Amino acid sequence: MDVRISDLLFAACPGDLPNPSEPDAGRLRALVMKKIKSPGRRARRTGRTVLLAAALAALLGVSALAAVSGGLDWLRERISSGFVDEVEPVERSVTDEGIELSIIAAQRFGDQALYYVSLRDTSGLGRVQPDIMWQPISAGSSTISELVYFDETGGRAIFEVRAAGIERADGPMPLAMSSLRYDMREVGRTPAELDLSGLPELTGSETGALMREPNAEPLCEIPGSAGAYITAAAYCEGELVLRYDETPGDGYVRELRPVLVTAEGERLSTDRGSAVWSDIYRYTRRNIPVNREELTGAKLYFEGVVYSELYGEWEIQADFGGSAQILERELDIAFDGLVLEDASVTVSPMGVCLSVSRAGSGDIDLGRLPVSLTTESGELDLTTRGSFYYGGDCARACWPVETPLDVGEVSSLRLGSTELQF
Amino acid sequence: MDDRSALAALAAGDETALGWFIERYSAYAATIIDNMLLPRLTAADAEEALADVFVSLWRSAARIRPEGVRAYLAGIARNRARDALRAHRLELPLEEDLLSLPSPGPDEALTERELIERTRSAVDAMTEPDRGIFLRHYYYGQGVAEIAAALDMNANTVKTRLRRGRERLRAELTKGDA
Repeated sequence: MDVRISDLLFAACPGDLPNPSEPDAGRLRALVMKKIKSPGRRARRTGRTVLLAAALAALLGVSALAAVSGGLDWLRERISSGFVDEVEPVERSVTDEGIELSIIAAQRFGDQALYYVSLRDTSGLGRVQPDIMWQPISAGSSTISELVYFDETGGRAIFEVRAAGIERADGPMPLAMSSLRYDMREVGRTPAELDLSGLPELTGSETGALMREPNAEPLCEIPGSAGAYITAAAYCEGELVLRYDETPGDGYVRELRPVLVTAEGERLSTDRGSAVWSDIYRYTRRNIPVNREELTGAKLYFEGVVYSELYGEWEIQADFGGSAQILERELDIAFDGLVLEDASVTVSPMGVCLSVSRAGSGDIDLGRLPVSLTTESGELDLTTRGSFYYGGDCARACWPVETPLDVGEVSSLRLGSTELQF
Repeated sequence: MDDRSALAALAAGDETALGWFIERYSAYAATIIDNMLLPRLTAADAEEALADVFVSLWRSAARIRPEGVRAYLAGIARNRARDALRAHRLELPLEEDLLSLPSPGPDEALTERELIERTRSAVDAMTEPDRGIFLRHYYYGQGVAEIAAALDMNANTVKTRLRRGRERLRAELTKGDA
């Protein structure tokens, strides 16, 4: 008989809690309420920006959602992905904070959608570069984007966006963005000006009180961080304990990791600690295990990246067609000693998507589900290509293909030990 | 307000009750999630998982026993943390998590309750730091290197102490077997 120690231990639940967390209850409550009240996982309110832009545009006599200058034909000349032949022109755009978000083309495949989207800085500030980061928000439960082309001349970044888990039957489909990270720079070459050998040695409770001090004054700035400060430091029970503060909503995103370099050149670091983010405070505590004597002559660096972050409201509601090139089935799948009842499967030119109820399926791990297609060209094993989403009530997985699938050539699909004939 | 009345209010759609549960249990659930996810994933991932725990509580309030709220939240927190790891194609880095026990006879199999009680007994009998190491690894999914760094200990020492814990647990679970 085999038992999992981790499962046994968890059931026995001794209640010991190392590294206790201190979440911001107010922020958490707002996030939970947003999830409860949103019909889709990432659904957002109707785009106020679009409405305001429409009103302004009416005054100026132009369309708020102007036709995109670089349309689908322009795109097809520039990217080699075969999927660009599977979409239809949409050419809708919206601008906020000087950033234009455009849907060049899109297509829906059952519960999935494929978009080609561009981002462009209309302000002349050059904020759109190939290293920008953004998270598209769609009607799907999971949405991913990938940069497929950067137009140096026009300063446009073109993304392929894939949305899965779309439940709405028809009507305009939203695509939105709430923030954009740009101007990424690496930091960590200059040490912080902190006197490490002179740090006070405190007890655990004294250190805890110091680290929770609400009005901590800066000890020194973290070099290159655009406004993050070390606000508390002490030596406690074999660890260098640090706190650094940022200003909430200051327009920067910082991913920093303290690294202590001893006089002998040894690099000591850890991600252990905690973080408190609220509308008023944003501070991080880190504990680096180190012998006290090693602090003499050591230097403290903060390595990582800093982005500028721009907040706005970009949302486009676009009508576009649904492809007939899909196969949809509901079936029971035998896998991992379970029967996944009433699983919903879609085969489209984008690949295979599966949606199952989590009720009764327990801790199902779709990452281990063998998936293969048989086409006129042979067998296509998709098992290792999946991306997964586990929501409260359902689990979804998509296994994309590298080149568009001719659905008419698919003769069978194998999921686990279940084979589906078409 | 107590768990029973708050659950009843929550089942009726009372948002105040949700706030009460968040105030009372969010640190507990967050600790489970943060210990499993950080630093493998980001604080934002952990926060998302934590929010999903309370969304589940909101949706399941009518089916939860008042005396089992804490256990329910612990189980959901663990599952949501696992979901987040899976979504990033990550696994908990556990050493020999699967424990093979001799197959019992038809009347000898331990009930689930007995398994849990014996596990608790084995863990309680461990001395520090073995107990803490065992919990960090198998309860919170912290890796060997992570534990070694946190406790300023050699990784091989951590592995040795984990092995000792597994042997103690096995001995407790097979106690009385021929």
